[in-house]
Amino acid sequence: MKRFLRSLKFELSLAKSALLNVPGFSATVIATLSVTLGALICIFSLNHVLMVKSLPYPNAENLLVVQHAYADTEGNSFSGSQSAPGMLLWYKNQKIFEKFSLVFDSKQLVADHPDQPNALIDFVMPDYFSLLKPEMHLGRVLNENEGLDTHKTVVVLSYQTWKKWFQSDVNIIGNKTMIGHTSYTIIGVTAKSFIAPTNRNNEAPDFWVPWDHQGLDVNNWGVTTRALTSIGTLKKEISISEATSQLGVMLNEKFIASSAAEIGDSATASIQTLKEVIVGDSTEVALLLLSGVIGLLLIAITNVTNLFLSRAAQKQRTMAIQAALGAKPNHLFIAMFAESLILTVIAGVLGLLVAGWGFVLLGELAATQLPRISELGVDNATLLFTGGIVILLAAIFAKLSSRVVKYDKLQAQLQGSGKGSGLQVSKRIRHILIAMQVALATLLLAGASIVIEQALATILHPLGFNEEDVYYLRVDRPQGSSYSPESLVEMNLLTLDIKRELEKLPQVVNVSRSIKPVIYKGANSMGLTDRNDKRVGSYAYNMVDHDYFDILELPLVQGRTFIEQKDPRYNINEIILSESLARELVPDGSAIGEIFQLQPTQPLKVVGIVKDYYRPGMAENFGYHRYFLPYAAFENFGFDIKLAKGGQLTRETVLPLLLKLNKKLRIRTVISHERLHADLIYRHKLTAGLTIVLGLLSLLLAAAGIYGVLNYSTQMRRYELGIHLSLGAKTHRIRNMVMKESLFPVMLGMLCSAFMSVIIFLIVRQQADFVININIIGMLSVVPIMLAVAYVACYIPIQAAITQDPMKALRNE
Amino acid sequence: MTIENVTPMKPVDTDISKKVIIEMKNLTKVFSTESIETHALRGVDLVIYNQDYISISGPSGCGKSTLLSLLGLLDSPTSGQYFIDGLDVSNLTINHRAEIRNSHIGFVFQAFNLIDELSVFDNVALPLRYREPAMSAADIKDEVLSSLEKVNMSHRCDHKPNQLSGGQQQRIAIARALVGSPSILLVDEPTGNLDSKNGDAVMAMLAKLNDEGMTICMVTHDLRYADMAKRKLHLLDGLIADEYSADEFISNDATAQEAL
Repeated sequence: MKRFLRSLKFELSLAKSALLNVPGFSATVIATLSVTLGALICIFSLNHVLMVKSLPYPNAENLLVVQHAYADTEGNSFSGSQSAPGMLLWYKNQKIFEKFSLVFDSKQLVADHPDQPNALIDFVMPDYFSLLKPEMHLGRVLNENEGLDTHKTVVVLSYQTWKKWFQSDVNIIGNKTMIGHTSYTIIGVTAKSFIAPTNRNNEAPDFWVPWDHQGLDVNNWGVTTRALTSIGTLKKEISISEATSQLGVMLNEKFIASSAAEIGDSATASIQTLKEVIVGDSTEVALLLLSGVIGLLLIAITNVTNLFLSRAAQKQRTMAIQAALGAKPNHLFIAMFAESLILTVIAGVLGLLVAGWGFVLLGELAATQLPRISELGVDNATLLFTGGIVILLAAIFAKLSSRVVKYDKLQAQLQGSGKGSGLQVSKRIRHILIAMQVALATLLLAGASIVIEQALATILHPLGFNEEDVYYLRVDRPQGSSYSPESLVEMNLLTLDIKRELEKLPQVVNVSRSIKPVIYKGANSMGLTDRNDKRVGSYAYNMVDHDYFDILELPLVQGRTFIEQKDPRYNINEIILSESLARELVPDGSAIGEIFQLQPTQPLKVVGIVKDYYRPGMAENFGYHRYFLPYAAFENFGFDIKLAKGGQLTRETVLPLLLKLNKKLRIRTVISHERLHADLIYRHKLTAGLTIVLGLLSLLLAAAGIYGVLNYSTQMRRYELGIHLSLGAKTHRIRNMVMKESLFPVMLGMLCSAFMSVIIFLIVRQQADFVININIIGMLSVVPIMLAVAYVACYIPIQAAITQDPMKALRNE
Repeated sequence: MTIENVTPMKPVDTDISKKVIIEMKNLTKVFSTESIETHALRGVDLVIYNQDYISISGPSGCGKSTLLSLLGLLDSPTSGQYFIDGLDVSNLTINHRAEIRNSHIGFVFQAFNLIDELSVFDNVALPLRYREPAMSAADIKDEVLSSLEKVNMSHRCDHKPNQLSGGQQQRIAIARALVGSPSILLVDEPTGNLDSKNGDAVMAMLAKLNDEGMTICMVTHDLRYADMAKRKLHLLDGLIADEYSADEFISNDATAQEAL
């Protein structure tokens, strides 16, 4: 090893000088590898963070999340959505956790901030901080006196929140801030380094307040939410299976006794690590990206190998001198390794810079799509990986180059008589290189075409309703409003008043009330039973008023829409079904007039059937099944507002109208439907964009690689071509002859890619949970693209060689 | 001289008391392609003694370069035996041959074959870098400077080959050949790329080295320089056709003049 390092040290100094003499070669290798390594390092880091790296908390591997899992008699099951009474039951009665905290996250307005920003609040218990042990920038975290049922109005700010909304005020501790309708005393600011666990939408909390202020219905087992979860560490003597069993029994006993459970329903506990919950299914995306960049790397390796083979041919004389002076084959390997190492190390360093830019880009583009993006960075693992891949690549290039150097033939290079002939990379190797590049690029492009097609299918899918010039306004219910029948009437009237005020705005054409936007991230569903109380399923729903379908231009298929309610009292007795749901519930006839029920005492008569509409990203068989109920101000107030063409609606325009009606009203959101749509397809656009970039990059690399190999082989044949030309051969004959030979490995590569595609498809098809819709025409479209690129890459060097004077070729000028 | 009367000659003017450095016995070299066999050497017998100065000459294609390649262990013979310092090197492994090249043989080429990217010092030091066990940096420096002083080029240590004249480059090449204290210098057309003045200087240097005890075997087309050697081999069609000692050559020359 010592001898190796000693030789390497010397060869590195030799290689440094040698590479300076071939700037074109060096720059091409560095450029190709740095871009590819940048992408690889970036995606490696993403995979490492998602799959390997521990969460940034002490004892992170033991941090667990316990959630509810429900099942019914029909074999349906779902998990991850919890009821407040179920979670509180666990919190109060469990004896298996050493530390345990419930966590509920909710968006609320920072009411005393001039912009009234929408903040994410985590309602937690003191153990939350004992488990995560955040360092504090200022003040403290919640203490034991601020636990359950203490109703302390204190708040902890994240560092980013403190900076963003509180101007980094160092004297902030003890100040008050109004979040929603509650005034809290600021007791602490977490350190900049603290990375809080994100919620299911990969959002980090802005504030932490005591659990007591969560506002959930703690007695209703029928209301479940994914925003409610928990975090804890088990006592040492308790295993996960024991904990699951104990908590499951405890939950099931109370659940089946509740009014929410039907006969045969059951509830159990599901325990996962916090890491598993945070990472979720995002590893699939990360692995897909990794396979893409590995494909890119293979193409780049093929390209650079070709360059190194040409370089080895150039270096024959130097190697022959070294061999004559006593250098052994391993010395020559070290010499080539030194050159490749210098280049790969430079490419690795530049790759780290590219990766750094990639981290920023991912943070900008995918922070809400992928978890733990904020943890991406150049850490020890990234450096180790980069170092490893740099050395591995250097060794691969040196090994492949040294394989084409015939040590025992080197002496021919030293003969002064000129009998020595330059080494040529053999035709077989050149064909293999081209075929590999074509095969890999075609395979990658075929894969990219599938991903792009699936993404475009979502992006370009017609929504089925009008999104143009329609806004959604969401207003928080006034503080202190209850859910009693009297209060609901009052709230209904208030929403009517708001509607009328909004209609007075000059840009507003029409307004309807609804409890949620027509499309949004996530899904809320509610079960329906038939007239015999038999459960028919759980479907997406909305509560809307009579103007809703007009504003969204959602066509009516049968029956009628809701009639304007003159009576503000809570009166829900009608239901409108989507076409798909109507077909499912009443397959053999019209659903109009049928009765379904939300609860046994609440019959709903089907009065209309509307066209399906598409919710991007949701499977069609589920996404199209939805129903509509008449509006009632149960939840926060929502309004779909149709504007005149090109009209705008802002928070500033709307807020005075609301405050005129009720000083306690707060705007949660004003957003156009186009923006809602754009948010939902953003992930797909991002996927398509990244895939297109990856595809173009692989096409470019493959084109450059094919050009490089063919340029080299054409140069090798210049003398022969010169003879043909001098004997009177027409250029088109020579071109055809050379093109035919050059395109042979291209076709071979395509055949290989077709073969590999079939193998991969067969392997993937065996994965039951992996569904790929393959459009053969889409995949075949890759073939002419690849052929065109290969043709151009072949044509250019040939054309350059045959259009010059034959004598130049014969003289090897 | 015709081909018919060519017969391998026994070495003449040999001093048996001298140590044998190289011995070749019935050495052949055949280059084969799919359809053609070219017999480059057809049974060469050659003994080289310590402090010999041999020139090998002959027409193009006679096998000079092939013989030099075999002498320098740059190529393997097809048949026959080859000894260097008594060691049979006919069938050694690649690595073993490299070691012997490194320690026993110094090369001087027509085209100098210096590495452009290296300084004069590093070019000369190159054989020592491959030496096993490894030499210390200080020892390498001493050896290199000493070798450069022998060719009066120590003042050009830091120059690159392309900053030197052809004659200077060849002197550097000689310094590199000498640096490892080899048993023999194999010199291939040392003046082929030089003008007559530099060619004469290089040949004078080789003569001086031989006078100091270095064994030299040189391939050259130039009969004027070939005559400077103590032993002159004439190669024809892969065989040693004639060998003369310097004394014999002078004597033959005198006889010829008398005849005239």
